[in-house]
This record gives sequence, structure tokens and C-alpha cells, in this order.
Amino acid sequence: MSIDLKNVDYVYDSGEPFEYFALRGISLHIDEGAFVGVVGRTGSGKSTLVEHLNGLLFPTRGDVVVDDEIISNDRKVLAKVRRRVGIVFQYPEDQFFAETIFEEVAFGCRNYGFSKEQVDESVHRAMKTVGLDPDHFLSLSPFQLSGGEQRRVAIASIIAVGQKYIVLDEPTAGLDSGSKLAVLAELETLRQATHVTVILVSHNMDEVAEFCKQVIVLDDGAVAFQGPTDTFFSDVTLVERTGLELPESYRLSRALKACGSALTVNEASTERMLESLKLSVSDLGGA
Amino acid sequence: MIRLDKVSYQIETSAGAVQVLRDIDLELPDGSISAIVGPNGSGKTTLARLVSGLLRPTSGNVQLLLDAETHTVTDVRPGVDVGLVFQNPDNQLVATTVEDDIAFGLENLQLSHGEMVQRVEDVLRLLGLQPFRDYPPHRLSGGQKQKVAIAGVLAMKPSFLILDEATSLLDPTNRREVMQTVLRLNHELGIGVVIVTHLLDEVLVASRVCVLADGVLAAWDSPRAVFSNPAIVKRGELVLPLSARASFLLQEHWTDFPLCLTPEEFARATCQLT
Amino acid sequence: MALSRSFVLGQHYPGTSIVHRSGALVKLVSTITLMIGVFVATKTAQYVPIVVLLVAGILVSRIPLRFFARGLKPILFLIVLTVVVQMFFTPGKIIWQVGFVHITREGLVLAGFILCRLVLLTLVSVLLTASTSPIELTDAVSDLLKPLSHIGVPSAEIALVMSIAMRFVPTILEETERIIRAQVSRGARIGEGSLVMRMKSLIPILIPLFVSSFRRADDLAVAMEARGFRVGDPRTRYHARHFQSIDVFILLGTAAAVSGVILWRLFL
Ligand SMILES: Nc1ncnc2c1ncn2[C@@H]1O[C@H](COP(=O)(O)OP(=O)(O)OP(=O)(O)O)[C@@H](O)[C@H]1O
Ligand SMILES: Nc1ncnc2c1ncn2[C@@H]1O[C@H](COP(=O)(O)OP(=O)(O)OP(=O)(O)O)[C@@H](O)[C@H]1O
Ligand SMILES: [Mg+2]
Ligand SMILES: [Mg+2]
Repeated sequence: MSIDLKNVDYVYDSGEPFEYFALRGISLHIDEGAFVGVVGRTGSGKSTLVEHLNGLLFPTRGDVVVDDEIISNDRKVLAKVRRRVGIVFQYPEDQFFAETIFEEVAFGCRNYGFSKEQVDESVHRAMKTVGLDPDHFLSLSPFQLSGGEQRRVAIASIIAVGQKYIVLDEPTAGLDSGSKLAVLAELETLRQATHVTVILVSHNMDEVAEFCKQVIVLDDGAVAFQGPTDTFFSDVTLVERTGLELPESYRLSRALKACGSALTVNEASTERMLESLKLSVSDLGGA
Repeated sequence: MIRLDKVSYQIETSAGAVQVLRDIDLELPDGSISAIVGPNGSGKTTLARLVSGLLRPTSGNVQLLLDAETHTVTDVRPGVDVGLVFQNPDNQLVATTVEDDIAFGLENLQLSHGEMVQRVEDVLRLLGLQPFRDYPPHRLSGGQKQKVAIAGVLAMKPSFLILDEATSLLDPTNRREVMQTVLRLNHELGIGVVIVTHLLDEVLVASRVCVLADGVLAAWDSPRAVFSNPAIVKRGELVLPLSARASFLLQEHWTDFPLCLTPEEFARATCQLT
Repeated sequence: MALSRSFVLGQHYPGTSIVHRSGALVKLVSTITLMIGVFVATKTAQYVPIVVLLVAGILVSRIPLRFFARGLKPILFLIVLTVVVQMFFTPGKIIWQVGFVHITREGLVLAGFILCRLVLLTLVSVLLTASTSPIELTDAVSDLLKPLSHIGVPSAEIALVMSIAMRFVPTILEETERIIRAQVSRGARIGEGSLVMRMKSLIPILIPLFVSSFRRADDLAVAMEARGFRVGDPRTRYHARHFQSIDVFILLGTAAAVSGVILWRLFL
């Protein structure tokens, strides 16, 4: 099972004076169970792409297929697709409206007709997944939480529904460095435990390198790269051409190479790079 | 120089008084670059607003030192002495076009028409915003909007510029561009800069870092001193730069290996290894 | 189409034509005068000077006709409704009848007039707001209200509030779209089902919108204060008003056309 885009074009205000080609000939394949990054400079079409994945926007040309279901403006199809693809939008805490955190997290489940027991169970499970103690939090108002806690509740309100595909549009923007890592680590744990697919839109290359094995790079509405994250970041010209930057770990290994250091490390994400640094140090027989 | 002397700030809520900041002592020299870091809710925004004169401390003083010899001080005037730019540019742009937005602060200063036109032109040129002068804000990209917000503040010619997570909504390219602009202003015009941020790169350009934890000043020191002190790193819930982690790793074998903060510095230091 | 882009009335269409460059106060006064003219005119021929002036304005402004067409769209319903009501319910000489439904000659004429008036009024205002930047327009309103400040009307503040409102209309429409999309993604069905269900489905949209507008207002107040704004303090104006010869031209033209209409109506 997978999400596939076939030659998708999207034009905003088609036929109007302000008509704008936001997506051009996008063909993509996203495997079930993957952790995929979507990157690209501002205005490259990331959010537009994301809104195609659960039928908020329909392609001007081409097809979006979610597990054999071609997305169309048909009510039945839309209901099916939205039941499978959940989106956490930018600053999701801006959508809070309920009096208690329980109601907020339960909103999606209720809309999809969960029974009372199912709602209860899903809400508790989702809160635990994002590292918030249900007993303490569920009765509080979502508006009285700290920034990091609000973000987690917002994410919980999507994962409570238990969709197969979870898309997050810059979920860590505005969070402190500790919460950033924690939120992504929670998603990775969830993915490993339940095999959901996580699609992460991000401007932060360090986190993409760390968590996403696959990456989709958009440039001016077209796919500039699709494949393993490592491969993308080792192509410096491509990274620059698409207006992005290298993660710190890649910069470090390149800097070592550039100044002819005796230490050599793999170009890889942080933890793997540190591992190879350790090896290199012991090879040198550090005193 | 801006001087904070035993500054505390308290707010009254329905649940009682909340002490947001306690006994903060800081000195921000003219033309310096400082950073304010700390976890969500540690009081960074509150501190930024106190420094810019938008909030008054419950106790203590925030003052502008005019003359170090005679110790003449005055209150900080928002906009005039300190310009503040914050996170969401959409909520900072007041007027319906870029040009008019830049003029907004100048109108408040009651400048003459000629002076306003001059300053608007200067700032548009300085930030490369001339092509967008007639644009309404909602037709600009996030990075462009944030530049307009900075332009509006700069036109008032403050001696300090405070950026409260001003780049957090931008992509790497725009972020770099905005930061470079700010550094250039610091360099060319001698504007003092205070950066409130969660991002490492932005901490590293500062000569001093103010680490807040729970409303208390946990450290006020150089980035190097801050990152080399595990106790401070822990209290401020900071994440170490990767190069620093790598340095610590090397220190297990070469005890005199220096603490490096950037990849370049780290690479250079490893070349000195024997 | 995006909500925020379908609102043409009140939207500025930047340009460099004579119409764009002439003074906002002059355009505002001319628009008001023309509107009075539209209401005063009762004979087809009396509309001629007004239409000529409007068409000239539209052509000279070089704003695409499409933009004006879109300006008419939102009031299309209103136009159709009033025209239909007038056509079928005005008593008079019956010229067409099926069952009890009939159209009278008088009704047809009246409907024609109303159609003409509504379209003219809309086009005149679209021309004004499209060719004048909002800030100039608010300045003009402030100038027009200035005499009233002697009796305590805060004309400068009214103008500022107007301009902030105009600045935030697109932003808030965009925000509404964003919230709708987010709630729909959480399975919300908006505007489906019974009336009660429809009303209820609006809550998850209205509350966040309300909260975010409050936060915006709060931020905006801080941002304004951070730039030295204080309520009631005097401010200077960035936009100098200069009277140009073209302004005189426009004023004289409108005055001539409208007084022509009024005189005709009174004496012929
Ligand atoms: N409702 C709309 N109407 C017209 N154009 C739009 C609309 N929404 C977005 N666009 C345009 O489409 C392009 C792609 O926008 P999109 O929001 O998908 O970019 P993005 O990659 O998500 O950018 P960011 O990193 O800033 O979030 C942009 O140039 C934008 O101006
Ligand atoms: N007007 C207010 N009403 C209630 N609490 C407030 C108010 N202003 C600040 N606080 C509280 O003061 C503390 C510090 O807030 P502040 O906004 O300064 O934090 P911050 O360090 O800027 O956080 P962030 O990284 O999320 O921006 C928080 O616990 C906050 O809840
Ligand atoms: Mg986006
Ligand atoms: Mg803050």
C-alpha cells in the first residue's frame, strides 16, 4: 500500500489574472511505513502538495492515489481518504476550540463515529504517545498549556484517529530545542510500534537528516529530488541549487575532509556520524 | 548602553501573582550582539519587552546609560531607542503597503515630510525592498514580510534592535538573509543587537548569551563558556552544537582538545592533533 | 477559488494611470457626487453623462475589465433579486402573462433602472477603491471628516482604524480558510446535515478564529506601541496632499455632469 502522485499539476486561480502554477508534473511514490521528509524553499509548493494528500485540493491535472483509491470530489472517496490520511498543519494549536483537552483530542474520533469506549481508549493512547500524562492533562483547558504542550496536544488530536498516513507541516516550528527532538522522537517511536507512515515537512535540515530516511525535494513546484536522504545531502550542488543547506553533521564531515584532517567520518546524520567519529578516533589510536 | 538592575516582573492572573522574571542584572553595551536563550515559557519574550521599554518592571530598573562618566540615565523609549521585531510578521505590519508601513513609525515620531521620504527611501534601499514598495503585505512571502517589519523598525534609527524569534517562520535561505542583514547593520551602523532564539547558529553570532531558566538568569557569558558548562546547559535545556559533542568525544582521548562550536573550528583543531 | 482573492470591492489594483495618480480626496468626492447623480437621474438620457464619465475613467485607468466584472459578482444575487421583484410585482400595463405571473411595462422599465443603478454604483466604487491605495483612501476620509473633529469626532483615529481593518481583511480571510482546512482534516463536516448540525459545525471554526483575532490584536497593539504609537498623540502624515491640474479636471468634469443631470431633472 502506498501514496502515489501521477503527473500532478496544480494551478491556483486557474484562468484568472493572478493564475499561479504551484505544482508542475509531480510524480511521487511514498511507501507505507516510511518516514519521509518534504523539503524546499518558501513557496516551493510543500503545503500545496500536502493539501492534495487528503483531498483538500484536487489536482488541476494528474492523479493522487491513496492505496488504490483515486482522490476525487466524491463524498465517499473523500471520507475514505481522510480516514486514512491525517494532517497536522502549521501551528496546529491555532485550531483549538474545546473546553478540555479531552474534548480537543476526541474531536477527530467523534467525527469518524468512534464508540464511547473507542474514543476513550484512543485519546488515552494518543496522549501517552506524545508524552503527556492523561490523568493530569485531560481535564485541563488546552489554552492554558505551554507552547510545547499545546503542540503535543494538537499532534495527539490527529494521531488519536489512528490514520495510516500522518502528515506534519513544520511540527517543530517555535519549539525549544529539547521539545523539538522529543516530538520527533515520539513520532518515530509511534511509527516503529504501529507502522504508520510519517510525512514530515520541514525547514530544519538537521531534523530531516536525523529522522527521515527518504526525502522529497521540491523546487519551484517540481520534484528536484526523491530518494534516500543521505544521497541528497551528499550532492552539495543540488542542495544549494534548491535553496537548502547542509545539516551540521554533513558540514562537519566535509570540513574535516576539506582541511585534510587525519580523522575521517561518514557523511551521515548526527548519531551515525558520531559513531563513525568514534571509530576513526580509535583507529588513530588516540592516546 | 542598556542596563538592567535587579529587574523583576510579576503578573497578576486569576490564579494569583506569577513571578515571570526575578532579579535580572544585565548590561548591553552599545553596538554589541547578545543572545537570549531558554526553554519555552522561561521568560524570554517578557525580558525582550522589558528591555524595549514596552513593559515596566515590577521592581528594579531598565535604563539607558547616556554618559558613563556622569552616570546620566533615562528611560528606554520604545521605537526610538530600541526597536523590537517579533515572530509573526503578519501581526506587526500595520499599513496596507510596504512603503506606508515603513513610514508608520516615522509618523509617530512626527517627522517632517521630507525627512520621512528620505528615511523610507534609505531603508528600502538598505534592505533591497524597492521592488516591493507598493505591495500589500499579504502578497509578500514570509521572509519579505519579516524584512519589512525590520525595515519599519530601522527607519526609526534605534540604537538597539531586538529580534524575538524573528526568523523562526522562515526557510534557511531567508533566515540566513535576514541574519546577514542584521549583522551588516550591526557592523555598518553600529546598532546593538539582541537575538532571542532557539537556533544554535543565531546563538553563536552573539558575543554574550543570556540563559534564562524559569525566569532566573542562569548564565550571562560567552557562548563558549555557556556550552562548556554542563550545569548551565542542563538548566537552560540547551542542545549542544554537534561540534561541541564531537569535541567532548575527542577530549576522552586527547584531554587538551579544545571545545569547538562550529564544524570549521572543529576541523581545524583536529588538524593540530598529533 | 480562494476566499481571500474573490473579494474585489475594496481591493487595490496598483497602476500608474492618471486615474491612479490623481488625488484620493478628489476621487472620493467625485465618487460621492456621481453616486448622488445616479440616484437623482430618472430618465435614460440623464444617465448618459454619468456613463460617459465612468467609461472614460475605466478606460483611462487601464484596469482590466475582468476586474470590474468580478466586482459585480458578489452583488449579482442582489441585482437579480431586485430586478425580478420589480419585473413581476409592479402594477401597470401587462405585456406578458402566464397564469397569474405577469410582467408589466412599468415593471420592466423600473427593473431596467434599478439594474442600471446598482451596476453603476458598484462600478463607480470599484473604480475608486481599485485606483486608490487604501492608505490614500483613508487619508481622504480623514480629510473629509476633518471639519467634524471640531465637535469631537476623532477623524484621524477613524482613518487609522479603517486602514488597519483593510490591511487585515485578506489576512483574516486566509486564516479562516486555514482553520476550515484543518478542521476538515480532522473529519469535521462543515455545512452538512440539519440546521442545528450546521450551526454546531461552525463552532470549531469560529472559536479558533476568535482566539486568533484576539491574539493578533494583542500582538498588533504591542507592535504599534513598539513603533512609538500612542493613542491620541499627534502624528504627521507620510502622504503629502498635492492638488494637481488633473484633479481640477476630474472635479470639474463630475460637477458638470452631475449638475447637468440635476438641472435637467429640475427644469426640463
Ligand atoms: N490560496 C492561494 N492562492 C494563490 N496562490 C497561492 C495560494 N496558496 C499558495 N499560493 C502560492 O503557491 C506557491 C506555493 O505555496 P505553498 O504554500 O505550497 O509553499 P510552501 O512550500 O509550503 O512554502 P512555505 O515553506 O513558506 O510554507 C506560493 O508561491 C504561494 O504564493
Ligand atoms: N499576559 C500573560 N498572562 C499570563 N501569563 C503570562 C503572560 N505573559 C507571560 N506569561 C507567562 O510568563 C512566562 C514567560 O513567558 P514568555 O512569553 O516570556 O516566555 P518565552 O521564554 O518567550 O517562551 P517561548 O519560547 O515559548 O516564546 C510563561 O510561563 C507565560 O505563561
Ligand atoms: Mg507551507
Ligand atoms: Mg517568546
